[in-house]
Amino acid sequence: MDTNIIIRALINDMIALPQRNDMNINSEHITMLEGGNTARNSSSGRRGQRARKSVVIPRRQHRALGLHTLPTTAVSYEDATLIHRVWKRYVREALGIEQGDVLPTVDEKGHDPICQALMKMELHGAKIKVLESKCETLVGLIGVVVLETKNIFKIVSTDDRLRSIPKQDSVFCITIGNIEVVAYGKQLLTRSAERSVKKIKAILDFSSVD
Amino acid sequence: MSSKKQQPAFQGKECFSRMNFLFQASMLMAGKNNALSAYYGELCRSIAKKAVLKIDPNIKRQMCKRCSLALKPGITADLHAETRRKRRKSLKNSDNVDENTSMTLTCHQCGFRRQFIVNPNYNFWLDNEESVVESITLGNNKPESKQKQSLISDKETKETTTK
Repeated sequence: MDTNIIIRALINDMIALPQRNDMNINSEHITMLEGGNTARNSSSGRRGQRARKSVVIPRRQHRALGLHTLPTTAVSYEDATLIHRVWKRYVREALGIEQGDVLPTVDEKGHDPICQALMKMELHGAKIKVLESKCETLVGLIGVVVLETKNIFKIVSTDDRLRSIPKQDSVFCITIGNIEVVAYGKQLLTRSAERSVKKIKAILDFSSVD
Repeated sequence: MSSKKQQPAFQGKECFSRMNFLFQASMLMAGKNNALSAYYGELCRSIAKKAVLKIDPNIKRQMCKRCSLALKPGITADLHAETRRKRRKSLKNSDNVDENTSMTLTCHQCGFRRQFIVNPNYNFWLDNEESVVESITLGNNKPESKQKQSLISDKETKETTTK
């Protein structure tokens, strides 16, 4: 029991001489703290441990941190409305419209650039409504988009629950203040990061095909 | 050709405003929902990667390099000032304490540490007036003043990249 000897030597200095012989160390009462291992504590070992963490997160750790999913009750509607408020300002800036403005119709001059901008718009934070869907239970849902993947919108409704809505086979209505934009989910099938870079194919001109 | 070249006065404008929005959303969610904040941060960076645009270093430093979480010191990150041990002797001699101090920013979520050396003599290139080639002011002036710092610094980066 070398720990016993070490402790005895340590305490010896603190106790007056006549009482030293009465000292009794109960080995059960000794508590070792973790990290007491001297071999590990050497400077070289610590330096090795502290070696630079890789900038990339390993997939396993990524999952352990809970970064790859959002639980169904993770986002409250209040938080979603906060994002939505920021989004409104962003949209006005991106489309260059003021509050109360009306979008130009097809035959008016500014129609094309606004359509282009709408296609490239960020949809996180948008308030959407499902107008049509293959799945009937989804029709009529209103919520704020918090997450977008290639095929799915995840929206938060007033009951604080996260719902996934497949884009394909659905028609959405995006509300920007007083403006309502109807978007076909089929056209939105892109990863959101790629959308701003992706070139938009012009609608097929049938006359030229023939 | 020349008329075509003039048209895009501010290339990547919609990407910048998109990134600006995502960064703000990420900042909003930090502390409330870290996973979401990290997601928005990641998206902001991936858009920059896709469109080959540079994020201003001041903005970049507010996101975790590893997990893209928006770092708010005290809420999602720890900020420490550290003095290097090796040079402690010289510290006594020199009056300037700042020289040997470094700031360490530790992300709460993934534990990534980032160190910034505090040096009052160092001049940031983007703060240098020479780095600005041209500055672009957006057409509508009203929202300009309201816009948050991030977009403006985003624009600065744009200016430097055009060089």
